[in-house]
Amino acid sequence: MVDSNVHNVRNICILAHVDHGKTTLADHLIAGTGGGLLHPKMAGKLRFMDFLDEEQRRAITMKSSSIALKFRDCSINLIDSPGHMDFCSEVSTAARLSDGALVLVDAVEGVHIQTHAVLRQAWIEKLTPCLVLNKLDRLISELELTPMEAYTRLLRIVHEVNGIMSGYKSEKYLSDVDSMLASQSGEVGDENLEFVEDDEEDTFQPQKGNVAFVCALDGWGFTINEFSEFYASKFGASSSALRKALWGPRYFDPKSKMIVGKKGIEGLSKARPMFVQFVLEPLWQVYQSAMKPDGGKGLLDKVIKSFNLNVPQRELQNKDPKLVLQSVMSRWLPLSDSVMSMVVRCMPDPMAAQSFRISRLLPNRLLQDKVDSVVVEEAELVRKSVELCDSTPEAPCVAFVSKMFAVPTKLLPRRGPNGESLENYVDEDGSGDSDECFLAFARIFSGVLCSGQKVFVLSALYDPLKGDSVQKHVQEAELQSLYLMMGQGLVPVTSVNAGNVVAIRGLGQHILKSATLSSTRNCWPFASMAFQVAPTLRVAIEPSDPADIGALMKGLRLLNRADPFVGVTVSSRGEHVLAAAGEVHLERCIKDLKERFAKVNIEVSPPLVSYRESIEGDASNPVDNLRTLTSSSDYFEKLTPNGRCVVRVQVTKLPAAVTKVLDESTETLADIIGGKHGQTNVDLPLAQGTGVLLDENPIEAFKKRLMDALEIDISMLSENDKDRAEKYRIKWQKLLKRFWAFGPGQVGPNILFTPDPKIEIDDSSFLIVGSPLVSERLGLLDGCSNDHPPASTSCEIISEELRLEAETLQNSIVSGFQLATSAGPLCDEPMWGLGFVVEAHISPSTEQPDDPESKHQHLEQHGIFPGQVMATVKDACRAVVLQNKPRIVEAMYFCELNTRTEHLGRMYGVLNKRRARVLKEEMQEGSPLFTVQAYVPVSESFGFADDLRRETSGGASALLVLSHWEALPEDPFFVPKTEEEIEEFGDGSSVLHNTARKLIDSVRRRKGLPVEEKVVQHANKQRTRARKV
Amino acid sequence: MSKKLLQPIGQKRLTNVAVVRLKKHGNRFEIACYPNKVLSWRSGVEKDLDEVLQSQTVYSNVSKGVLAKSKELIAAFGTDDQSKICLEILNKGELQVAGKERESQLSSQFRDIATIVMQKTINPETQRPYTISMIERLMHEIHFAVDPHSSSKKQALEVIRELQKQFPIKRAPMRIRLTVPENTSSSLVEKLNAWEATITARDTSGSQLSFVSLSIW
Repeated sequence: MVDSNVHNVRNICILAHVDHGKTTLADHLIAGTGGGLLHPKMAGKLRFMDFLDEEQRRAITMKSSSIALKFRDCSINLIDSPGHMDFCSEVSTAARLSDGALVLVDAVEGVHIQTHAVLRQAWIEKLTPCLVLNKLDRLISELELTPMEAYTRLLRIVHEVNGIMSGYKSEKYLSDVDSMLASQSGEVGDENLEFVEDDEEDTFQPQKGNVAFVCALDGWGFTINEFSEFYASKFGASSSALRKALWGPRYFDPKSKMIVGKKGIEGLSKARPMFVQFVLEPLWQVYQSAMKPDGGKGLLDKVIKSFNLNVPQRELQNKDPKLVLQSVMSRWLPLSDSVMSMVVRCMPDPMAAQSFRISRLLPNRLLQDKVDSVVVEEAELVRKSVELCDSTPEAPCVAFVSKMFAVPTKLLPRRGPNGESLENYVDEDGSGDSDECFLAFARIFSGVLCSGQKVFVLSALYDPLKGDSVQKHVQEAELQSLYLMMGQGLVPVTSVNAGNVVAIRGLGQHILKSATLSSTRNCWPFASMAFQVAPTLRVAIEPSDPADIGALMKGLRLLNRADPFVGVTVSSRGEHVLAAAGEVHLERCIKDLKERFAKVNIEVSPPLVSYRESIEGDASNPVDNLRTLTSSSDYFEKLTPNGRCVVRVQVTKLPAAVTKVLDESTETLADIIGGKHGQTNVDLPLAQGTGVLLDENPIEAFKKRLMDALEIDISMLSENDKDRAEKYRIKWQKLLKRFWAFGPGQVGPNILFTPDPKIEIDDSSFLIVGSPLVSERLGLLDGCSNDHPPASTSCEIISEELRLEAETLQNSIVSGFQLATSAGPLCDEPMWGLGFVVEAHISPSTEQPDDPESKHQHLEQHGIFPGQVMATVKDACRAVVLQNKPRIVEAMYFCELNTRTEHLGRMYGVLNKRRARVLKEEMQEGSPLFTVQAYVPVSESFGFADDLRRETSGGASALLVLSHWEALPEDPFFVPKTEEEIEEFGDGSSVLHNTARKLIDSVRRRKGLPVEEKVVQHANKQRTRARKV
Repeated sequence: MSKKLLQPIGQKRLTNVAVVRLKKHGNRFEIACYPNKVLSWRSGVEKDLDEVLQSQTVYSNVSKGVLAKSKELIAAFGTDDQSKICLEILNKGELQVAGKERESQLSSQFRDIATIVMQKTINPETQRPYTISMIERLMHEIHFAVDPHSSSKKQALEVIRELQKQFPIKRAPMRIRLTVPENTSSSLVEKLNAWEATITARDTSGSQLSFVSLSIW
């Protein structure tokens, strides 16, 4: 089957909106050319390419699958792709592997949203598209259009599709012009000018023969060519002239027997274009006569006779006129012949296609100076041979794997290409004893691939210039066997030439989703595929029986590999989060997990959302924020249960920039604070040696970032008030020397400051002075100011003892701070962006220390007292947060939406419902698309994508990326107080809880914390509980 | 029209009543409240008294409709201000906890217990905590019943013990920071080894040696 002649290979895929008849068309092509794989009678009913049970049950395609067909002397690799929005990733993988695309459009329904999407995909991947207008019979029998009406309809669809394509072209044109204008100062690249020339011509022109008119269900179809040849032989005119005449406003003048344009014909209203007269009308007549109950047999006979058809009498005598019609039509205008000849004629062979697509597949790299010229040369050679589609065995072998798919091991063929029996070793794909085997769906772009060959597997991030340092992006693997795909069936082959599509076994462990295979190390990986949407529907899954968690994890790993478009992550709360593209996709993933990969029962739930707690900080007035820290006015005081220690806590909001720095550099901080100080220094030269760009010292880097953040904050202030900014800067410089700890977990975004040493001390108590440990570690101390010991005037023995005790209690205070910051007062979620000052004064125990009994007591107390201090510090920290206008902080997604103008309003409706904040809306130049950027809270994102799709009937698609934390400005404990507020909201008893409060309550309810809610809302609306009424 | 006049029968009188009783001075005083509301009032969630009390009168027997005598009221409470006495009875009296109240109490305690269990345990296979929904399901599976009279933490510890018998679940190891003088450190290390503890960090500063250890038990 493997054709050695590259010119006779065509790789095509079928793309269309869902339910426009892709798989039915594929069925007929298989029946017509597949060499007995499918009986023509079954074509259109069997849906050969939908071999999964789930696909048959739902009657939609879910996986793209390939089949090798033979038409005349050409071998054609046909890839059927799904049309449903949820499986658009499969469209991307199919498009990458093929050179041409058959774009189907339903003649009745016209262009749909997914048609736009697939056209775009074909455009991005630089495929050569052919238009196929399907379901023509519905125009006749269902809509009962006249041939003229049908013609205008078809004309409109072709125009519309051409409009879409020219939109993409002009979009590219505009962006190119933009980039040229941007780089005008420099040289204007010659290659940028290439686009100008072929701008005007429509992509799809029936005259050129790249538009087919088919009815896949009845098995007939034609292009203009078929009819032009027929009429050419009938009228004796040249077929090329007829071809031009059979579309568009060309009329046949019966008197002069001439083809004339619009002007040449008189009585324009009555005249019919030639396409109508010579193509559509005969079709209509056949249909109408066949469908007539009394049987227009005569006309059928005429058709049979005039076209020399060979229809068995048995079929003609069938009672069902529909069947008769089918048998006649499928012989008159056989679908597979016309479509296949169009494919062979219009679609490029791999050589032509690859030289056209090379700029997309292997874009030219901008190389820096000082690179290994040998590597570059070889990479260039590889690029050349890909461009030429060099199928000589000497050429470097390059293939691209666009997806991995799982096949049950028992379905693998047992016989090798030469008839020898293959042993299917069980334990090869990393899947262990599982009976799933992973095959790579690949296309060979250059060279020859043989089974047993050793190749390098390059991931998309691989860079040949970096050589040995990036080992993780390149692996070596042996190809166990190669298969030609025949739908579900696999035919083993020994070697495959460039330009063919193939399934490869033995790469299961090496490839996660897609990769480039190459026989040489010095090769750039192919550009990664473009997906239309991102997986945004997230759910948490867990096994029904906890003992099955291992099986589930293994199943998830397999699923992640088998589906190019799922995301699997494990959250910090121990949930396994599965991300899918939509409801249908998710359902299939769950089903696959349950029945194939994990084989355990699974529970699905929305994932948990985490929040943070903070206080309100007035961004416009940071000085006042700080003042609360330094002045001792606004604090919370608490006594330990034994009354010996008074804890006084103040809280302030840290500047947003500082919080951000702390949030982002948790890992560095963990290294710095966790005592790995020395180690990082040792590692450093090594890291530099490998060429990874690092700052010379993580501590310095962090310090710099922190300072920058502060500087930004100060500069914002200094714009309007220089004096205060200066004061503010001085205050912060002091504070920088007072970092005691970060929290929670020692690295979080909260800071514990040591108490101000200048605070006056009562003579009876002693202040526990923390040591600015973190400042020290970070090198923020200058070493000049920290070494004055707390001046204690009382130099008695008691004081000395107290000092020791105070030192031991330091740890308790830090622990108390850590506990408090890890569980805030609102709903036990971690705190965020707060600075605390904890002043703990201990007073001497009331008993005399030399009293032996009390000494005993004192020892006993020793175990308890630190714990008491810890608990007190924790409570005080939490209380002070509650006192200072607490706010809930939620995680935000950055969301980018693309939509057409007509769906804009609906989309905003969805965004509003989801509490989204729109940042920016702009129109993409040259296209009717709007791009909207917004922030969406994570808690609102469940079902967001689905809601969006439903509201806009699929017109808008979203892309979500986790962006940042943001405090809700609402006060969760808001009670109307002023007269105006009371007027607006009522007197408090009947106010509905605001969003912040609702979020807090839902978290508290989930955690089982007490929630302030009435069991029954209205007392006298409860049911009367009488036995009998 | 000899038939009896039809009375509305949709509404049953005196079925939406919860009685709060207080025995004082040898007498029993009752007030008529709405069911499911008294606990909300006591916890301070419900602030509208009219949503709690059916009427601001003190009865000696609600179901019979006998009002309390003002002499008895003065003897018992020192006043005969009905509304003040109502508040006192409402706060101090005994009542039958109504169905919905008990339901919400139990379910919130159940979740509380599940949260504690989640915080204290891990899955030994993954070294990660189980999710809260999973813990709740497991608790249902071992037919755990909440006892409203004992503390959540105590019950959580029992639940963990029960769960360990049937499922792969383990107490999460505890992170302990130990500070000891240098000379005794060797015996401490011995002890730690005996407990199969994992020492995660070790920091010597001055004369005191401080350990941070992750101990497993």
